[in-house]
Amino acid sequence: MKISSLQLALFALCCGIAHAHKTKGQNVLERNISLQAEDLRFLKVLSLIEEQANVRFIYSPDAIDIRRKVTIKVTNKKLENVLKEVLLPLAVDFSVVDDRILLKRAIPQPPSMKVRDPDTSVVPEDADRTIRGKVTDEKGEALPGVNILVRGKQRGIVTNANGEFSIEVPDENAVLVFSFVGYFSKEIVVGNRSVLDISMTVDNKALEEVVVIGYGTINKSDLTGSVATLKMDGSEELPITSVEQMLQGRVSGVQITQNTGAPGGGISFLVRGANSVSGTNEPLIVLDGYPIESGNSIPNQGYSDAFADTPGNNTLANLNPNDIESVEILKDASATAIYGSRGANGVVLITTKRGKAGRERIEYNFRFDLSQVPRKIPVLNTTEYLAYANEAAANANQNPVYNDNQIAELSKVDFDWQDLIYRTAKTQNHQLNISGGDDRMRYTIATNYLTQQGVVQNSNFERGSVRANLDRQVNRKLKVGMNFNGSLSQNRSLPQSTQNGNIGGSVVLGALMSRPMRQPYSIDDDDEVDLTYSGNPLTLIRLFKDRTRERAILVNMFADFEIVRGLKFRINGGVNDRATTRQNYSPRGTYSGDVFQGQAFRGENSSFNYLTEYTLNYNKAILGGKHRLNAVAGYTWQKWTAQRFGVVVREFPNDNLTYYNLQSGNTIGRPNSATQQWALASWLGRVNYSIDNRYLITFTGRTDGSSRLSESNRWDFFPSVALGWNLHNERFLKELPLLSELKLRASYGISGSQSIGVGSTNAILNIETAVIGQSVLIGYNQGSMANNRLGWETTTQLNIGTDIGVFNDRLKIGFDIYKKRSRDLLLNLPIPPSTGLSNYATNVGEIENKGLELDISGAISTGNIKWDASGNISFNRNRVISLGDLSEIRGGAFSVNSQLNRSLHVTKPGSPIGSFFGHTIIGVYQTQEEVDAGPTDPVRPTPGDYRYADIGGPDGVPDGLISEYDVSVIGNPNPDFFFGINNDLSWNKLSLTFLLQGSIGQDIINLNRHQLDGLSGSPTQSRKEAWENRWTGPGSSNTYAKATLTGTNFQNRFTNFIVEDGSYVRLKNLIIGYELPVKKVEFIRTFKLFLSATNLITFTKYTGYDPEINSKGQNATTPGVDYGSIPQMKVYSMGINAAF
Amino acid sequence: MKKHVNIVLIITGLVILSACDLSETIYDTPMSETFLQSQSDVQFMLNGVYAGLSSGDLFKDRGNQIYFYGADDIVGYSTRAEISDKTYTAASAGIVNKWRASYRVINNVNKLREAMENLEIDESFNSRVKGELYFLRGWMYFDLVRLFGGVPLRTEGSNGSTTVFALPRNSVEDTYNLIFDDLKKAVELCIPFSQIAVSEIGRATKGAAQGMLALAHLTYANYLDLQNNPSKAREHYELAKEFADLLIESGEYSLIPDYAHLWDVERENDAYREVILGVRFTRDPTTSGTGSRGSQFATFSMPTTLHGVTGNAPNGTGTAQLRIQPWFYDKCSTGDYEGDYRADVSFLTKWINNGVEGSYRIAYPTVRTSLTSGEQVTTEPYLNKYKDPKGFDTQNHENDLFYLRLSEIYLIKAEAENELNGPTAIAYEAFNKLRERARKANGISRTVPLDLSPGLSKEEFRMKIFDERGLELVGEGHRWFDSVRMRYSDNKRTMMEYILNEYIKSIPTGLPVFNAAQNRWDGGRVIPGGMPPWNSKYLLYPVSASEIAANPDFGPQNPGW
Repeated sequence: MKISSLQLALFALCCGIAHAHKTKGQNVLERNISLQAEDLRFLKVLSLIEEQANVRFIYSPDAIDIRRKVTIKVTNKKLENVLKEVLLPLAVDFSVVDDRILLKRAIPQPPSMKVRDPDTSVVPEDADRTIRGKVTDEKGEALPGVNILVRGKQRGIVTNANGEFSIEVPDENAVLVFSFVGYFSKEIVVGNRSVLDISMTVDNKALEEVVVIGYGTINKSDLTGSVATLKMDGSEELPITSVEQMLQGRVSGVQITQNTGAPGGGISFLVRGANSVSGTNEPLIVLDGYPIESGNSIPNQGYSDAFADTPGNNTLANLNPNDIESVEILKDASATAIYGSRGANGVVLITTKRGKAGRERIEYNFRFDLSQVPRKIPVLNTTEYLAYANEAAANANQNPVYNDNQIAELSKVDFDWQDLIYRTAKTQNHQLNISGGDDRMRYTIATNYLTQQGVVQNSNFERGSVRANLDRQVNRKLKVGMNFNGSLSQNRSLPQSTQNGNIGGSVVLGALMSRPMRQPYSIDDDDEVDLTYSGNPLTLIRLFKDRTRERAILVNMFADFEIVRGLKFRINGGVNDRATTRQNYSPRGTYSGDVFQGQAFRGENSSFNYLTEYTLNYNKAILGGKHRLNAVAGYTWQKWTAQRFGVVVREFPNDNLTYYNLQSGNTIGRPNSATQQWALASWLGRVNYSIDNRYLITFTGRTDGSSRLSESNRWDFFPSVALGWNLHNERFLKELPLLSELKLRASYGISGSQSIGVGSTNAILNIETAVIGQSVLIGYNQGSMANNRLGWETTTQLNIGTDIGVFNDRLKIGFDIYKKRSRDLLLNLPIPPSTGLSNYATNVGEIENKGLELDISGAISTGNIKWDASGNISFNRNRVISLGDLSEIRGGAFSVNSQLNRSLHVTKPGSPIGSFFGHTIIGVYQTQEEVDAGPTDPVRPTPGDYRYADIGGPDGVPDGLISEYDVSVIGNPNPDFFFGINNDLSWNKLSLTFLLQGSIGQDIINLNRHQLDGLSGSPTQSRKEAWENRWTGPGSSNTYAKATLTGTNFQNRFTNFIVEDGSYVRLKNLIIGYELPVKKVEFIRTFKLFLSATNLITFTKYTGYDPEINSKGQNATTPGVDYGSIPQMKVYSMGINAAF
Repeated sequence: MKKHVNIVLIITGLVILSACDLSETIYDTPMSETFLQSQSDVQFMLNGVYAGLSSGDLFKDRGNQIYFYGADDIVGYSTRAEISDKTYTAASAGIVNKWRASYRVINNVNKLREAMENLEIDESFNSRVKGELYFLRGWMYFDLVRLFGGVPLRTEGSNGSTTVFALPRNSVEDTYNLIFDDLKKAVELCIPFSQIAVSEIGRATKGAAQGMLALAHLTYANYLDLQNNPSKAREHYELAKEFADLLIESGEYSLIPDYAHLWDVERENDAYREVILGVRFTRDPTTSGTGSRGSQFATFSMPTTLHGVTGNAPNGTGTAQLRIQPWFYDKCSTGDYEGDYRADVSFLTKWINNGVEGSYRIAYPTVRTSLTSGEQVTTEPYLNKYKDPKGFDTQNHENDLFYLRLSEIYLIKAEAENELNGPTAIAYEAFNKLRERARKANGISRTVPLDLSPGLSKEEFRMKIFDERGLELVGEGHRWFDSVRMRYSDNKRTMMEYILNEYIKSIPTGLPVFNAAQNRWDGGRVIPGGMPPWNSKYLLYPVSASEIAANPDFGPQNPGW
């Protein structure tokens, strides 16, 4: 019998009480109880039984009238018999699911109804034909015990163990009603069919949905906070390597941006906007109850060359998304305050798949992807390039760069260098899961191997992981379990986005900037990279080596002990160990390799932390059952140790042995090591109180004590309060048949953000070398002042929301409106440098995020063609309110091929964090008269040069001079809104899923264009659009300036010209699945084939590779820059999911 | 119920067991409060103070830009043009960094001095270290007062709880008083050069303190003269002379015979027979680039077409960001200085082009060996003092910055004597020490430059000193200080005003242009940068914008800025 324990239980329920003993819960039913009740409310009786038999009842208040009075008197009787006695008169059925007893209104069963073999038929008088068939669940597995009624007739039947049935109907107009607990009822007109196969759909509402929240779970109806839940079904069909990718577009309020298209690359994850200027804005990740570190842990060389700029890796890259059962995102203060000083950026709770009781289940999933660059950027071909160079020379009154002979010679070569670096990349993903168990022991073991190629040649990511979960019910009171996750990964990456703008340090820039007539290969050997060409991206691709290996282990164990009914004590403890080793080598031909005659780096980061957690959970109906108390209190202790070591070795005799043989390098750089330790002790508590399923109130509080703060300031309290009102349970709304849920929620509270570095409150000495004699000696001097007043950044958040369900929850709407104020920002206030120090860290400043979130989901069609759709849209407005005495904070400087050298971002009151900050171009000077009439520009423009707007001056008014005073905010990196629309369609064995995802209104700095569109100075490769729209004489163009050999690109200014609208809407995923009919094959449960495409179509005006880019995403003050980043890929996948 | 009590006890026990200590242990970072435990730790703190000198913010780069490129003899190109063109602002890196880095050294001095007070230290060690600390503080304030005028005087280490962040600027007089105090203490406490080991060369000595005092008194006296306070100026000229004499008579230093040897990195330690105070740099194998403890003068001052003179891979060329004004070259190679060995050593006007043997490049004023010889042409001459073919990278060379040399002390003595008593025999004698050494050349004596012959007026003698300083000390960072300190012969204005306002008008404008047909240099003799029209605000640099912004009590910015 291919049925799970749950289905078995449900089957038992529908077969009536007589069958109840067949379920595995029989031991529960065999407990003896004594009970005396006279005219007591049914509810009270239930709670008396609950207490005595140590069971729990689950029921829907709409189905059962719990106010009814009951009289019963039994002594030492089996529970089963007691229940029959109590429930039968009330027309209530029961069944046992684990330790819980499910109550459900009994479907009025006509006397004739019984389980029958389809072959033996009872023929009623009006029967003229027999319908046979099979009922299956949503997974295609047989569903025994389904009630089948002929509408209007006192005739019914129940499916057998194989889900089969046979029933006689009067005529073709007969309607069969299929019903089953936990499933939506189905009505089918028989028509002229004689065989009817029915698939039933789970009604999620039937069993009270449970939501995972911090340190516990709660019935969804009792939830007061803003929590988004995502079940991770079907992730194996998507070419994703990380959980965040799965979340993209599916959850409101969560803005996920893939920083780069490089495999294993970083992802920036924002929940309701950025709160912090100096600290991280990434949410806290809690994996199966274990808070894990986020943040960049790639060892860096620690000095400014291209490879220090490697975009951060991804915390969750070591977790296989297919292992995940569900993800809950805690968004408002009511939900996050339980995480105290780590909750301000939101909390992501990840629950991995656990074994289920029943027959062993073996699943194998396989996926194969082909990935491509979404588009190429059109650049000049050789003919155009040569014309450009000569025109630029002519405009600068110089002789042509190329004479006719040279043009003829060079025209023979024409490369689009983008073709040389990009490829169609292949990815394979294998996953094997085994899970199973019985009523006392459940397990799951999952293994995964992923090998992913990058679209840039020679880049790839590999990961192997093992996950095991184990649960054991030791006895009635004690349950123990463990989670293990181990993974190994290797990332072979290539330098891409660089802040210092060294083209030789980025493959993408190298390809974009290389001139079309430049030979990539040596003349004598077609395949030998021309090393003499510095900036040749092939040098980096073929010769530069950069490998990062990571090993991550997360193990935690827990024990639940039920002290008394409803009160559970839980110990949870574990360790998280992560070790990263990065090795790279810059051979001759690369910038560093040439300068240092080969340079090798080896860096090792390791971080280790352990956690102990003691919590008491109380979850019980009290005061006669009308009130429910769900409370948790506990203490946790977590301690981290992080270590780092790195060394650079230079001057290698040749490039043969690279980093494998550091001892052959002649010069050894000063090694860099660090060890840091910090700890967090916390007391936490939450009380959720529900009155009559109508009024809900939650108090949450956490006190965090951190070793990072000074003693006087060590402990901080983070409280929150939330109210909820289940309006649909009010009598005045109960009668509304369409309304299945209407809940109002409001919450207010405080959570914190840990932005203070280890040791920040102390006066730290800098280590700085000095030259004494002719030796370099270690010295120590003052690095900072002691500062014992520092505290956490705190975020107060007000959230008001509503959850609406109509048409029996076929349509669900969630709406939230929130306002967050982040205060006490950790800012380095400048102090007079005459103190010998430049700044002093203080808690000042304020940032506001406010926004709206809307989630809608609906079962549009539930018939033969099933169509579920869901959509969400989020609006967030980020604004800096104050920065204390600071007027602004500039983001880190960007260079473009050693020009520009300035910061492009500003964070200042009144604007969002990381606003773009530059000059405004208002056209091209057409004539000398226009130039003369325009403001004085120190760069002395001539006709054909850009005309800059004179916006301000020293006094704030235009001063007729183009200067730094004319720099203003010219872009906002934040979207106006972002959304996702997901559709799941299925018809018979065929399914179709597609996700439309979009982000509208954000600006992007397309920094590649600063040079590609500059048409100035020594001619480098140029974008076709710039060349074709250049100024060639008065009236010819008012967009792009003239080409010239003199001058610098955009006058060395950062201009609005390269700030683009990055709005996009894309078909993020498209999946077509087909389930093979394998019913006949005994050992296969399901076998599904699928085809999918990711980023198939993107609608955008953005001129770069892809608008989803954030090369400096990890830093809140420098968002939205596209510079040399490897673009997102367009991916086509195919694969199988098989279960045995 | 008893069972429940047990459970509660167990739980409580578990919680207590894991309720570990939250006190912070810092493993990898030295802490100000705990580092200094014994005398042996003091040395590391002292190294830390010295480290400031060779940092990029101070004498390695930014801290000396503003006077290296701010004078009339040398022009900065590329990122340095701002200083030469005098288009800098209070926020320019050269200014902001010099200010900040000088005060960093001052704060490190103050902190270490305070920390040492609670320490059991050997007396001789204690006084030597304190002497060096006083010296370093006096030196930093001296640089600050000359560049920026009166500055806030901080004599206590900064800490988070008691330090007053906003402090008004002190007067020039107060600032000098602190400088004289500090340096006098340094003279008392420091040990003489002859007692320090070769491995310690670079640390402050008694001689360095005396020399710095001589220069400080002379500079202050000049200031008083310009302020029309001749009587008080006399006191300081006396003191300048006195300290210069003390130093000369100590016999600790001597002029090394060959001027060229001063600039030979392989003989650097030997140069310290003459060098009284140098900021030491060395090829730093432990760090590369900006953070290294090597210098970058060679990279900036060498042309891009001369191979094998720097650590700039692959060919060891410079980047030519520092070039000599053609008119200044003329001044150093004509008149008194025609055929002067020092000009031969100090300037580069011909070199092998791009490492191709037999191919040459010439720079003004060199002409081709013949009309047909075809040497390639570069307009400006280069400074030839800093070269280090063994440098590790562009910012990692051995070349030190010589801050005070004995030859300057002779000139200080001559100048102080001249201001006090006119050009007496004493003044001539001191002055001619330099000419004498210059004639020795590289062992093959020359006849030039001639000794200065008596009969000059006080003002004429002063002009001779100005010119002599210009050549002898070119490229060592003195010219800007000299031009705002010394008065022109009319006794009314500074040399800088004279040069920018008057002298420049006598020079043909524009760059030299090589006339290949005639094999001669036509055109002007001036690189436009470095020669903007006179403005009295140039006498001081603006105070760092970051100080003005964060220090509301600072007081007025310097005039004109």
